[in-house]
Amino acid sequence: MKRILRILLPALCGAAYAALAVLLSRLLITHLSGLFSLIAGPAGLSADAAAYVSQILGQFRSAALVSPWLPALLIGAVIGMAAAWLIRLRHAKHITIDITLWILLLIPLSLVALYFTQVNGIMTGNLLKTFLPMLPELL
Amino acid sequence: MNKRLIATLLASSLLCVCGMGIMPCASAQADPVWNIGYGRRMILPDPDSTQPLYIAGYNSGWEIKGVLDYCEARAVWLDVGGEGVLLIGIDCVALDSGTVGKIRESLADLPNCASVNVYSTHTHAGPDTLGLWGPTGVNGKNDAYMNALTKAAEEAARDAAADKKPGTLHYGKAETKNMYRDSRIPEVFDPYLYQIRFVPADESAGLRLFFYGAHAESLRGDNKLLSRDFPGMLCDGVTKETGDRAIFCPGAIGGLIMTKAFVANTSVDARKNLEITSDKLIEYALSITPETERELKPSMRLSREIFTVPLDNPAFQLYKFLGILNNKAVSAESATGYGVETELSILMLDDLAVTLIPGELFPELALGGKYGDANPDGVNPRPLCEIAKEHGIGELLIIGLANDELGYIVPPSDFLLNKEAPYLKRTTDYKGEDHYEETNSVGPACAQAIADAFEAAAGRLN
Repeated sequence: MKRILRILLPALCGAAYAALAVLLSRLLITHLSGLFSLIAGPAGLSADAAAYVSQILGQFRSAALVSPWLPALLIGAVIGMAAAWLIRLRHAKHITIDITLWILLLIPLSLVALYFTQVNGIMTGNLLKTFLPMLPELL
Repeated sequence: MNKRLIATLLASSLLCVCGMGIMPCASAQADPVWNIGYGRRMILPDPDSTQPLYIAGYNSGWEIKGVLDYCEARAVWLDVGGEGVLLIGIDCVALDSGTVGKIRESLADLPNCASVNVYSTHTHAGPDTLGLWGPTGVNGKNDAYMNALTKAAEEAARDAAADKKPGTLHYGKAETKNMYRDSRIPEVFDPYLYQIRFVPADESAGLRLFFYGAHAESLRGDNKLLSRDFPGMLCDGVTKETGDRAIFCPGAIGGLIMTKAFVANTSVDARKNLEITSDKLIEYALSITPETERELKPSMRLSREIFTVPLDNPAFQLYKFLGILNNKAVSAESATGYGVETELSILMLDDLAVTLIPGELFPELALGGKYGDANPDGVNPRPLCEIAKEHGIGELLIIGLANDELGYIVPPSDFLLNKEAPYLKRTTDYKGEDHYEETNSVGPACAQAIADAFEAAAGRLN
């Protein structure tokens, strides 16, 4: 029982952490308009331009999202188990990661989750791959 | 029991069974007969809607300023005694497969209906029903209007199903002269106005289906008044003259086929241009007389092919990502990694193949003849008329913008993109020809996909 828990607990923690990242990615896309409004003013955008961009981003509020839950949970579980194994090793026993870092790490992980999220049937990553090469020309 | 009694009992049972119409001794099946019904509903904008109502077809962000005539949903029910097929024509610029799906869902409980087909007349004076004519990147659809459109389509379809009556079907055509403008060389278009005319056996009001391969934009680009454009005027004019109800179907209009300007300045005299265009078409329609028609035997078959077209256009991909376009995207080998799942159907009415194409087909892809040569590496598919002939199809009629909207379907040999920003910016070829249509297409592979789907559908008919 103890042995099972020793494997299960870290896996569950890892999966939960990954799920949090995925959840954050969903909140990020659906609240993109609101987040943009927070930075539009300080960024010096005109009211009209800010309203226009907000209108475009506001369309994501009702977007159909398909998040990579299963891959995220599986990868999270594996990383959790791997982390637990590393910590049990003698020379890694004293390595701890600050809680702030764990929270901050959620942001890039959420972006990774967002990359693999389907928004209205199109994967964000695919869209980026299509448009990034054209960006210099478009700008 | 004696033998005589048994024989009597057996004979009586047999007579009862036959009387109930059960197959073994039923008399020969009744000869099939055309049963056609018609429905028509207006699509009214909601005056309380807070969303803008953008005019579709030309400029982004232009709101409708008034009403010339309201758009409508017109439906035709066709059957030959078995299950029926619905054709629903909507006065609008286009509908994606998502909206078509909603209309089909609303009619899921309609009894004895084998197929619901929804097409757009492509009026460039109707509200934005695709989402592309709001401010750039913003969905231009008005939710209340879209709900009214779906409701009108459903009601017109139910009216058509309830209205059906037996009669005869007749086919004729008239060659229109000096009506067309083909804005992109080579100049290839189908000059005929086709008519399928239903004559009810009870001598009540008949029905005429018109097929014509021209963009419905006689009001041109400065217009901001809501209108059905010439499709509506043509139908109303024929009804006024003959008493027959009418419905319009757009043909192969890609490339960009439109009616000519009959006034010097369409910005100033748009309404006059609409009137002249409509009057000319009404005249051509009325020139199709019973003497020039042939009767269509009561025989109907439908073959539907679902297929995937590679999506190479990043603008379409972006608009789908933003939730503006509701076509069905699937993983596919393409520049974007996606394809559009769409459909093509062939409705055989006797030996006439009414082909429902999900976009704006360049006429040369249906008729053959001359093709553009801006892309020498592009290989054109066989024209649909050639494929049709191989499968024993007598005559081909096209209904464009049917059950989906893929945009322009351009011959690969003339498919040219801007090198720096493909699909996002236009380009001109070595002859100075503007290649606008490519920016509103899914990609060069569409033409071949359409031809393959047509071949598959035609093959199944045999």
